Amino acid sequence: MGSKRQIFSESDFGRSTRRRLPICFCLDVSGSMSGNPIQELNEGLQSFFSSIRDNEETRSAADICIVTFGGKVEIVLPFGKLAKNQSIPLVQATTSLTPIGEGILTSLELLSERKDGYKHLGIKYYQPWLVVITDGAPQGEESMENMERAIVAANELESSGRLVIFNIGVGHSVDYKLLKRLSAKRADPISIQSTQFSKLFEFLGSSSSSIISGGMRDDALYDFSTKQQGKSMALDDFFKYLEDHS
Amino acid sequence: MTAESNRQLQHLSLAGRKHRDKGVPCEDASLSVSQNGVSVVCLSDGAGSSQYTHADVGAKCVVQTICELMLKHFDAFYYDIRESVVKNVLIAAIQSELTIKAKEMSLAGMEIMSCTMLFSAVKDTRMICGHIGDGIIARVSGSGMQPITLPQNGEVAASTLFVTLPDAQNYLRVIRTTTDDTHAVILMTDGVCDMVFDQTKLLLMPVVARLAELGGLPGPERERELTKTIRSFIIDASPISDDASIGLIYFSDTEAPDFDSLPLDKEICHRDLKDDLQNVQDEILPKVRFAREIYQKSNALVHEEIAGEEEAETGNETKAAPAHLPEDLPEIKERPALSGKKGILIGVGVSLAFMTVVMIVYLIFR
Repeated sequence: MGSKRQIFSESDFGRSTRRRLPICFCLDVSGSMSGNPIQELNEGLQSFFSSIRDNEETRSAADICIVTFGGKVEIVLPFGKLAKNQSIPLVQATTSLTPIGEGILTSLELLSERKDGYKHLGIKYYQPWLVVITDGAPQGEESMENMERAIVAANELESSGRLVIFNIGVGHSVDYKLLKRLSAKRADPISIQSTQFSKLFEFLGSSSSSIISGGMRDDALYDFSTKQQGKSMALDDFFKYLEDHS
Repeated sequence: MTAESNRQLQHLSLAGRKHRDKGVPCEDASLSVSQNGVSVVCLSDGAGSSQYTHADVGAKCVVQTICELMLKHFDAFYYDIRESVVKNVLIAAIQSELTIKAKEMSLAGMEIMSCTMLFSAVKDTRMICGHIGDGIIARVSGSGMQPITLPQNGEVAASTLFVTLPDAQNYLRVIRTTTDDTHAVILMTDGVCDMVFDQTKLLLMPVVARLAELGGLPGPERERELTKTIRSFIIDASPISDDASIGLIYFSDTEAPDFDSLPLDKEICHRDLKDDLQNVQDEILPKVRFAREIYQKSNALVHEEIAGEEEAETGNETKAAPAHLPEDLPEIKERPALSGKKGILIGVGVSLAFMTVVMIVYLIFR
């Protein structure tokens, strides 16, 4: 049999978009975040989403959800692919307490459900990210018990390589000792000032892009060799490390 | 009948843009060769993470080793029914070559040369395929196309299995079949596979059959067309495209499918997440325990009989012991992460020790 001449076109091929990077932002919107911090956080989030949307690869791979905790836990943005013109809801500060443990437990549950959804459909995925940003310490009824439960659950997932945790403290009122325990892999929590939100989200955007393009290992998001400053890793050192290792 | 003269082979490896744009060499390797009635195509995808510094060397070494082995010993691998021996021999051969290569290059070990492997070898109408890791091997015939072996992925997207694993033989797939009306066999590393195979539907897109049809073109044109197509629609389609390799065995005396009638879509395959092997183990455990009791009792009886017979010195042949049952069911665990040099050395050691035992047994009893 002679071979027929084949004419190919772009539409004959699929897009390599069946890999997802689930990211759950677990954000503190308690009373202490009111004013400038919440505004900076919103601006950071908006620029993060813009950078994800501007890049065709990250837009189709990043699967993002936002959970807030301040008085009660709310799912502000459920998981789902980002539409090109989809607007991202602004998070609002409350006048309430800080149920961080409940927020983290809800986030872990959402991530777990999402992973099961991928598995059910045979969709490949990268290790999920849990990005916890807080400026305080657990407050509210049963908050410490819930935080302890959240720490155990997060540590178990993280130590078996099934979760990447960013435990980020904003300002000086954070219980860094407790926040540190959330990640068994990270030497110290990441410490930022609210004015550095844009830089933080810029880093998260570029890191997610690096993970999706296969140029960065999950370990590079943890493994610091730079000098530690006090009880937390200063953001500049964190960026420097990433630049050196990406 | 597929004579060697009716088979046309092609292999191709192109650097993806995520490597090409940074001046990094292609970490895939591919090779195809025909000799003495045997045709082999082999692809290998070098591990991408930064710790695998010599994955490209490993991939080249693997395709060379497999092609030589299949050309020389096709029948040995095709006819031996001891699956574990076949797999152990293949992995021992690959890991030995990688270890020697690492020594020659003064490398720490073969782990840094980790890579996947896909091969297909044909002799008359017999065909043997081997696969470890991601990528896919598919068969195209006059009536359509089907995967021969599906991608092996870990829980997360970036993870897969490599020939360098200490227990690689446990993951290696070996398929023996016949070619019959096979029109083409097409092998693809994940760089191509991800663009033409829908993992959620387990559907090969019609373009796969059309790519395979390029195998029917004359030699230089075949390579040129295939390169042009893969480059235009796969490599250049994304700034982060992966390295891409494709291998073809085209049978020129067979019918091509009707490309227009190949399915464009099908239903998503839903996985029942509760149905896993751990549950199966739990389900059969009572029966296994009961069977073990039966075995232990019957074994005790056999021992009594043998003791009685020995006492009576009847000189009868000893009865064969009942088949062995495991002491307990193994716990299914997730595949451990690559365990470094020590694990690799243990792996090679186990493979080689196994080979030695097989050879000694063979020499004693032949």
